[in-house]
Amino acid sequence: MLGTLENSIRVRPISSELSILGNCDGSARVKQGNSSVMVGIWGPVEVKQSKEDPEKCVIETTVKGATGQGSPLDKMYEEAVRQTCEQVVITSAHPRTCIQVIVQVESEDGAILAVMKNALCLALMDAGLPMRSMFAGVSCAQQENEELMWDPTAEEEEESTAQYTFVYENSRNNVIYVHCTGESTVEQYMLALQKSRQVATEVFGFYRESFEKLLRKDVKFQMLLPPIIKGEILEEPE
Amino acid sequence: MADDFKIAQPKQYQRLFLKDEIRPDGRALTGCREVKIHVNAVSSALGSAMVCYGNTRVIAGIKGRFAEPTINNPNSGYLIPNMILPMTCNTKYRPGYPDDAGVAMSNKLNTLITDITDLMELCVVPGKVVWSLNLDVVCINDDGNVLDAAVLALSAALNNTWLPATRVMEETGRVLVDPEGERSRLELKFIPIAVTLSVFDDKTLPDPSEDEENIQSGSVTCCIDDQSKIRAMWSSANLSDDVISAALVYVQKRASVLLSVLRKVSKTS
Repeated sequence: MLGTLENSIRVRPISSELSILGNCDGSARVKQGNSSVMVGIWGPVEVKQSKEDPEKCVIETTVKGATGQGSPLDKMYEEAVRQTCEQVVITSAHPRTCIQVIVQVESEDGAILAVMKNALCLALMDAGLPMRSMFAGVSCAQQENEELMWDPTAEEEEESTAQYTFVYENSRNNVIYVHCTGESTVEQYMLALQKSRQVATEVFGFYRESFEKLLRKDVKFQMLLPPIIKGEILEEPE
Repeated sequence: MADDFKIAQPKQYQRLFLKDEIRPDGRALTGCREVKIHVNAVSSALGSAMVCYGNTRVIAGIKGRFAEPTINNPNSGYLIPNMILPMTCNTKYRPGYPDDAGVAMSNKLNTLITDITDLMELCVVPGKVVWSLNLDVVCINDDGNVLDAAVLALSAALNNTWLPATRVMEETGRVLVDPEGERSRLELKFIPIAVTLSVFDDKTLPDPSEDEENIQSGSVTCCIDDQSKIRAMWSSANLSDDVISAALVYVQKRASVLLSVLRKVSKTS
C-alpha cells in the first residue's frame, strides 16, 4: 500500500493473486486480513435462449460461502455483485451473450462485501472485459462512540452500531454501490461516504502494483514498465 | 403507434417525456403514486396490512406460533420475515422455487427489522416457550417499487400487531392461547420507511413504475425511521456526493409524509 492515509484511518494488509485459475478467462484472489475471496470469470460465452438479451450481455453471478450449504445471504451478495458488474462492464459491447461470475469466499472475517468487490474488479481486469472504470470496495463500521473504523474484522462488525460498504469508481470518483445497515444519522453517513474515498484511492494504487507485478512476467510489457533495482521501483527522471 | 414506439425504444420514449419535465404516467418528476394503507386486512392474522403504490399491491401478515428458544438466548423470541413474489404478480417471475429477487428482498427486510422490537417481550415461559412471529409479505401485483411497498406493509402490520394472552396448563405444562385474556400490543422501537429513487440518465425519479425499473441505470433505496435516522441504504447507481445528499433530503421529506399516513390509519383502526 502507498501509505498516504490519514493517521486515524487504519486498514488491514491487502494482498492479491491474479490469473490463478487455468480454465477461467479471468480470475483473482484478494486477501484483506483474514478475509479471503476468489473470483473466476467466464465470458462472453453463449447464453441460454430464455435469458438472451438482444441489447446487452447478461451477467450471471454465483456466490458460494466459506462453509456449509448456500445461505439466503449469498443471494443478496449475488445481487450485489451483479449490480456492480452492470454498472462498470460495457454490456452493450457483447449483445446476446453472457458473462458468468463465480465468487468463492475462502475465509470470512469482516468486510466481506468489500473484499468481494475488490477481487471482482481484479478478475474483470484480468479477463480483459471492456469496462467504464475500475472500482474499489471499502467497508467501515461505526463504533458506539461514533468513531469510524475501516476494514473491520468480524468481531468489530459485531460490536458496531452501523456498518457501511461503499464501492467507488475511479473515472468520476462517484460511488456506484452502497450497502448500509444499522443506525446512523445523515451527517454520520455523509462523513463515512467522504472519508472512505481515501481508502478507495489507496486500493486503486494497490491494483496498479498488482498488475505491474503480473505484467512484469510478460516479455512484451517489460520494456514499458520502469526497471526494478533491489526490489524498488525507480522514479522516472524528469 | 405510441405503444409500438414504447416497446421498440423504451429509453427514447422515456426521454421524450422527461424532456418536458413529466413522466409517462402523468406524474411530475418528483411525484409519487397515490399510497393507500389498509390495516388489519387479514382477520386471521395477529396483525396485517395491505399497501398500494398505484397498481403495486402488497399484503403483509403476521402469524404467531409457539417455538422453543435457542440455548444461547433462552428468553428471546423470533421474527422471521419472508418475501413472496408469486408468479401471478408479474410475468417476469417463473413458477417453482422462490425467485432470487424474493430471497434478496427477504434478506433486506430481515436486516431492517433486527432490533425493531425487544425480542425478550416475546418470551412466554422462560427457557421453554417463546413466540415465533412469521412475517409473510406477499406481492399481489408488481408494478414497480415492490420493496418500498413491502417495507411499508410490514411496518404497518407490525405497528398493529396484538399478541394474544397465554396460559399454562398446570398438569401437562402445555402452553395455550387464552381467548378471553387481554391482548398485548407489540411495542416497536422504531418504524422504518423505505423510499426508492430510480436513476435514469442524470435524473433521480422517486417511486419508479415497472416500465421505469426496466430501463433504469440503477436505483437507491434508503430506509429512514420515525426518529429520522438512516436504518439501511442500498444503492446500485453511479452517484456523486451532491446527488446523494440531495436524495437524502428528499427521502426524509417523503418518509415523514408516509409516516403520517401510517400513523393516521393506525389510530383509526
